[in-house]
Amino acid sequence: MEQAAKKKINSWKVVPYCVVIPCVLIYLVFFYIAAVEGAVYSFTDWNGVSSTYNYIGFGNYVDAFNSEYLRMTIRFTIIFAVIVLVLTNVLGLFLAVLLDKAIKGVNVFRAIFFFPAVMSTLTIAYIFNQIDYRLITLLGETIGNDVLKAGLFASATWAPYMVALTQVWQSFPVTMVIFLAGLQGVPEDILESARIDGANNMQIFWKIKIPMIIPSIMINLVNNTKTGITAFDIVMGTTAGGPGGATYSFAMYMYIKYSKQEVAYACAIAMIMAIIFGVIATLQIIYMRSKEVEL
Amino acid sequence: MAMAQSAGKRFLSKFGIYFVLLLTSVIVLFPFYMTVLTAFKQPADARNFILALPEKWNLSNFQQVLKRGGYWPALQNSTIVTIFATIGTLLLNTILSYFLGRNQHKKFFNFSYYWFIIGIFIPFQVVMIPLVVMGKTFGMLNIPGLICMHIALSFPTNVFLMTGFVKGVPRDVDEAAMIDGCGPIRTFYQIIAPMMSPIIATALVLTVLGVWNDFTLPLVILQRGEKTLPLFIYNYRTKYITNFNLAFAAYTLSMIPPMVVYLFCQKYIIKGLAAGAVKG
Repeated sequence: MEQAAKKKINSWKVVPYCVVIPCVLIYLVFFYIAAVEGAVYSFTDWNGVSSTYNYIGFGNYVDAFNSEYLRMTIRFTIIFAVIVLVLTNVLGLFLAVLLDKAIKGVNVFRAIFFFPAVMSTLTIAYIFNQIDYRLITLLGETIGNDVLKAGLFASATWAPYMVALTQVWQSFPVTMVIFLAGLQGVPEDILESARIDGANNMQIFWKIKIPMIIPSIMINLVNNTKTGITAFDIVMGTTAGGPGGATYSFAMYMYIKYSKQEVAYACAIAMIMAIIFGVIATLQIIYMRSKEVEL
Repeated sequence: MAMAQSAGKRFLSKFGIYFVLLLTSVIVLFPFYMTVLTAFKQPADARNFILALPEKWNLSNFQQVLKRGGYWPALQNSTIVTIFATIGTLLLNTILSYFLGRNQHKKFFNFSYYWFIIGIFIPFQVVMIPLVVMGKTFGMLNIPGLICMHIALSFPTNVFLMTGFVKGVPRDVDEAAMIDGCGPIRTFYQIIAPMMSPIIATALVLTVLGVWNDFTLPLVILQRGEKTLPLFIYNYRTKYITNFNLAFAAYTLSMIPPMVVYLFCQKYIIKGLAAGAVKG
């Protein structure tokens, strides 16, 4: 009997290791070893097919930074990521604030707004591509505008912005729901006592609600930054990188190189993207952590 | 006087809110309206104004898409992948996060926690090509391989969400179970897991949506002609680009499964996503 009890207590010590260690190993194989391999490939001239390859140091990186396409990729990524990050969060927060009010029909609107999040990004991208090709061009012909006539996704100037707006259209629902959950989690008594102290709605929003939904803001910031920097489906569906590379995202550029069997070069592009994302995400988290309030 | 003024103001602000909400609804619903409408039109019809209702509602576009094949196998593959990847993801991550959250004072578990969390900050593209190489070596460039990779890559987000939640579950619960002579596995399944249901709901929604709609991983992993729905759409697009109506019928068909599930479970999906997202 006593031995059985001892066995139980022992199992509390042993079982956690038995669960965690295999998971750590799975992740080691499928992620860390893979990531190191990816890093190693980026220093070679491997084409993905042949059984041997040579190490060429930073050759791929030097090539990348000398390439016109990487410059275009960075330009597109800045436009795309900034629009996605700012608009998605602002729109998401704004709609969440509206839906947080006790007015009729909130549930219906919430259900409608969430619709785009259920669909695959690729399908949505294709649909927007068709809207542009069929409707915007028609509009252009009607009002006699040459840019619209050719379609906005076909314009090197406008395509990056249009791809970004398409992404915002799909990303805002999840962002909105996470903000809404945050807003609804702000305790009513705190708001009540602020009102009694004579705070107006604006003060309550900026001084109480915003600091209290920092966890939601943090999740949304990192999430939308990731969407902004690692975009692939949305680009593939709307422009496939065109016209002339004006909408090359890192992932798109990488995939094009990968399918041309320039595997090592593709890995170098992935590494450049990872470094950019890692730095920005870390800075965001450090900044938000410093603003967090404990309840 | 002051009362009347504030009532008027309130009416205006309410009017404004509804205006914004309605406008957003139109912007959200418009692409769906156009997609479904075009799917019912004939090419001759489509040359008329694109937003006009079809002259005759007919199903021949859908029939043609289905006849050309690929839809049902893709639907089946997507369903299988989503179900198994979701079950695997939830089974592994819940118990893993429980032990991580409860033992964070121990070095090994604390290290393991960050081991998984760092993955959030490394984009998938870094491991994409090596995973294909690895898949080739281990014979994983198929549906089961795709499922395994989805599960293996699910750790960071889920550990982040669930471990945070577990820390909020009072420790006395499992201490009581332990004193009563209950083992860790049973404690987890009978006591802790039910208490984690809000965060499990969140993870369920995120995983189902993520796996069902994922395009990149199946694109590089499935090289033997097997397709999931996003791949079916991609393939359809490249092959039959000339016929808009057929393309829109294919888009509509690919939207039906998530739409049906969403219509029936809308409340649970949004609530589920919200339930644990913030506490995590």
